[in-house]
Amino acid sequence: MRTARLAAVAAVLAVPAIAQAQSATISATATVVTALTVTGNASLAFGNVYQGVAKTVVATDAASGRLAVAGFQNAQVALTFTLPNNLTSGGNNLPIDSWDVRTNGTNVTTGATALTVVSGTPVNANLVSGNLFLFVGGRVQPAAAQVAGSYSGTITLAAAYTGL
Amino acid sequence: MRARHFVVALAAFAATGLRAQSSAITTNATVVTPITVTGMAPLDWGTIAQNSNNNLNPNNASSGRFSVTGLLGAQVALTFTLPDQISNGGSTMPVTNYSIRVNETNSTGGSNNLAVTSGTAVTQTLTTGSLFFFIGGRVSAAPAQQWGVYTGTITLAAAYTGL
Repeated sequence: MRTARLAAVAAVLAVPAIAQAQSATISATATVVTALTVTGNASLAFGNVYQGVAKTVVATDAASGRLAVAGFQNAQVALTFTLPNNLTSGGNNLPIDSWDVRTNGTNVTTGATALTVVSGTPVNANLVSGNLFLFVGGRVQPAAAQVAGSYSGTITLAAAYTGL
Repeated sequence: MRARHFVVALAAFAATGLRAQSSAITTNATVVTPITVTGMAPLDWGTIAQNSNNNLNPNNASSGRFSVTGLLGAQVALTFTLPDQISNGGSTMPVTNYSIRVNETNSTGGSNNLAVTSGTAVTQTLTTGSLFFFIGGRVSAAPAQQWGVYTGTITLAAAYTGL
């Protein structure tokens, strides 16, 4: 009987010890960054072009298109260019068959690096200084019988933080 | 001699009458493996812009992670404490729409949704001895949200229910 009683007491003591709650914590974190701004600074101007003669504006030319993205220093952004296949004048198309996009942390073409861009596909870049300047060139291909007139199109740049 | 014989016989009788009676039963107590709760990974929304929100799915690689281990087959009561907001000095940012998934392996694939209210215990069974929890939620930055790093604490407490 003594032995049995001792065992029962031991069992009662053991139960509260193992039923004790255990806990752990993790942190929940987010970094808020300043909102992104995208600004169109200058149009890509091919100027006068001639029937049957391709014309190229290099990204570093004064006539290149200019856009700027400003946001949080060192944040990664996804840049999506929407680039037209044609400039239009009424019902007439003037094809653009290549693009030349370069980027720099300052608003000068010197030292700008090439950015491989596919229209509609995001490409990532880092806002190392908090600013990115983009220079857009391209080539138009007027047909031999291209109708004379003023042709235009729209280049769109969308930027979004990737969270990195 | 006669007298002596009598005494001996009496003594023998007395011995029979006073013999202790006994029977045995067994007694058992199983001391079970203690519960272990481990915080494995923070819930990390990364960077978000002012005037935007990030609804992080629990299946996302950046979801918060806990593990609970204990006795195979035991029922446990789990109490999550989920902050309504995370803070950066005196600035706060709301966290809503917590979403928690549970699995018996440390993988979000095949995990199940677990309806959780902060501070209210929910029971689960340690069928395999381990449970893994994946926590997502939505953080919303106001248009003029102070920039910087916001943090909060998520706690998971687990206790055997005795079942």
